[in-house]
Amino acid sequence: MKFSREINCPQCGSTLPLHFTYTKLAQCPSCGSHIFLDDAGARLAGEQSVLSQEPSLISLNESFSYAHKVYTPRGHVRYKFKRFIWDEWWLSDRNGNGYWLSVDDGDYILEKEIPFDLPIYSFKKIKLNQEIQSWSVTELGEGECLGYEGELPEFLEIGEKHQYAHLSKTDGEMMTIEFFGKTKKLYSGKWLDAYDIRKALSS
Amino acid sequence: MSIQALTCPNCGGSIDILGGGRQVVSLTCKYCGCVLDAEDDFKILAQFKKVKIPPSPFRIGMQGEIKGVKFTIIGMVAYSCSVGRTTGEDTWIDFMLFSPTHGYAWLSYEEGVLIFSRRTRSIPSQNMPRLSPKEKLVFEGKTYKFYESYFAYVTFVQGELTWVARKNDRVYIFEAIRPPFGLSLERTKNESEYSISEYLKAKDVYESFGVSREVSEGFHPLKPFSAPLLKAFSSVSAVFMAISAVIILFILIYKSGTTVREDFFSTRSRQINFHIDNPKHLVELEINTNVNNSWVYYDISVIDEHNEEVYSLGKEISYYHGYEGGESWSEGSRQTSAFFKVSKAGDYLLLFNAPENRHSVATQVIIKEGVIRPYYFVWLLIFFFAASTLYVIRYASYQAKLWKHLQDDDDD
Repeated sequence: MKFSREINCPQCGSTLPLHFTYTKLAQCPSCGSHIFLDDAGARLAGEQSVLSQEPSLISLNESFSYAHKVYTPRGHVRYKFKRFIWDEWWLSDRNGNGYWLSVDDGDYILEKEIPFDLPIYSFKKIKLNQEIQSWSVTELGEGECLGYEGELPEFLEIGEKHQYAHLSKTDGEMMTIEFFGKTKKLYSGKWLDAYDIRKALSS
Repeated sequence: MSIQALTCPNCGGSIDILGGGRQVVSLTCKYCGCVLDAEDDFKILAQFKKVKIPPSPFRIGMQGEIKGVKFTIIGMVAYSCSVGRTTGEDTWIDFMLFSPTHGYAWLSYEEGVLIFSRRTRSIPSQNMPRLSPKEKLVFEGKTYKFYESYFAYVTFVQGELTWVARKNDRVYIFEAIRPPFGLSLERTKNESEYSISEYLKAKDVYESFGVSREVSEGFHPLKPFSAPLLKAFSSVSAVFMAISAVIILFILIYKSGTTVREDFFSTRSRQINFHIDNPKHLVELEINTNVNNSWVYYDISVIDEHNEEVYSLGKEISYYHGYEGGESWSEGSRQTSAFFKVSKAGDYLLLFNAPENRHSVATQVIIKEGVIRPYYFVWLLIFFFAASTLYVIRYASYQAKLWKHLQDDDDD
C-alpha cells in the first residue's frame, strides 16, 4: 500500500511530498523549513537545522534491502549523548509500515513501536544489567536532539532531551524504552548485520 | 577521520585519538604503557611496564580496506596462551579496526596469517562450551565443527579499545571452524561475545594497508586446504579414468591390427617379404621362439622398395627356468614384440640375422598392420589415478595437521 498526500510549505509554497499517513513533522525540500503537520494543516516549526554529512550506509530517500525486504529512509534525526552522536532513521517498507533504524558506530538496530506492556514506570528505577522479564538492560542513556531532516512521525524540538534504555536478548533481539517526560514508548526489533545491508535496485 | 592531540598524564607523551567511535573506553600511551580511561578524563587505569611491542607488519593509525569497507587500526591487543609469554608459538595480535559505517572489527595476526573477525548478535544452535572437538553446530544455516577451547592472556595493549584491558587479563575462547570461516565465543568474567571470523588472503590486506614487508604464512585452522590444481584433476579424474579404460579396452579388442604376413623358420638368417596398405598406424612385429634355457639374438632390419633401411633393431630373446629348493622358477620370455611405423604403403623386406647363435632356433614371425597401442591412454589413466591419490594423501595430511591437537591432548 502506498500513501501520498500533498501539502504546501507555509514558508515558500513548495509542495511537500509526504509518504506516511502519520507524518507529523517534515522538512521542506526547497527551503529547509521544518513544518508541523496537524489537523489544522501545515505550520512552521521552530528552529531549523542542517545535519552535517557523516559517513553512512543510509541516505535519505535511497532505498536499501536487508533480508529480502526493501526499506526507504524518509526521515533522519541526529542525537547527542555526552560527546558522541548517533542517528535514527525513520523508514517505510513497501507496505507503508514505519520503522526506526538506530545507527551507532556501525551498530544497526531496526525497531518498530509496540504497545507498552513492561512493568516499568520510571527511567530512574531502571538499572544497568537489570533483568526485566526475559530481557536484560544493556544500556541507559540520554539523547539530545541535534537536528532532523525529511519526514518524521512525531514532533521533535532541537535540543529536546529524552532518556532511553536498551534491552537485549542473547539472539540479537532488542527492545528500547524511551521516556519523553511522563510519556514512555516501547520499540521492539533486532540487530542488523551492516555487511548484509544492500543498496536496493529501486525505491 | 579526525586525529586529536592529548598528552599522557603519566609521562607527558602525546597520545593520538583516532576517533574510534563512542564505544572506545580506554587508550594506551605508546611511551609508558599507561592505560587511560576515555570515559573519565583520561585517568590512569593500569600500566604495561617494560613490555616491548610484539613484532608485526601493522601499526596503529594504518588504514585499508577489508571486504570493501575502509577501516582504521585504532588499537592492538597481544595475547598468549601462556602467562608471561610475549612471542613465539601460541601468541598473536588482535588489531582493533574501526569504520564509521560498519563499526568495530578485529584483524588478527598470527604467524603471518590474517583473520578478520567481527561481533555477531546471532547465536549458534548448540551451546559451544558443551561441545567436543569435531562435534557439529549450526550457525545461521551453516554447519561448523567445534575445534578447541583454551585460555588466552593479555600480554600487551596499545591504542584505543572498547574495553579496559589489563596485563594477564584472562579470556576463555571457544572456537568452531568451517574454513575459511570460523565462529568463536569469548568469555571473560564480565561478558560473553560471539564473533564470526574469516581467513583473509594476506597479500590483498598488505596491499590495501600499504604494508611492503610480506610475511610467510604459517598453519592456521581457518586457512582452507588449498591444492587447486590437484583438486581440479582429482574432481575430473573418475570421468577421465573411466573414459581411458573404455578406450584401452576398445583398442585392445578392435585395434590390435591385421596380420599381413606369418612366417616360420629355423635358420640363422631369414628374409621375409610383406606388404603394407595402411601406413597411418603402427606395424607390429611379433616374434615367438622355442628357446629353452637358452637365448637368441636377432639383428632385424626393414628395407623398403628403394633398398633403403627404414627401421632396424636388435632383439634378445631368452628364457630360463628350473626347480630349486622346492620351488619352480623362470625368467625371461620366449616371445617379444616390436613396433615401427613406415611412411608409405608398399612392399617391404624384413631381414633376420642371428650372427652369434651356434644353433638354429625355431622362430615364428607375425607381421600386423593398422595397430594402435593404448600406450597414451594408459599413461593418462596412470596420471589421473596418481593425481587423485596425491590429492587424497595431501588432504588426509592436512586433516591430520588440523586435528593434531587432539592427538597431542591424548598423548598428554
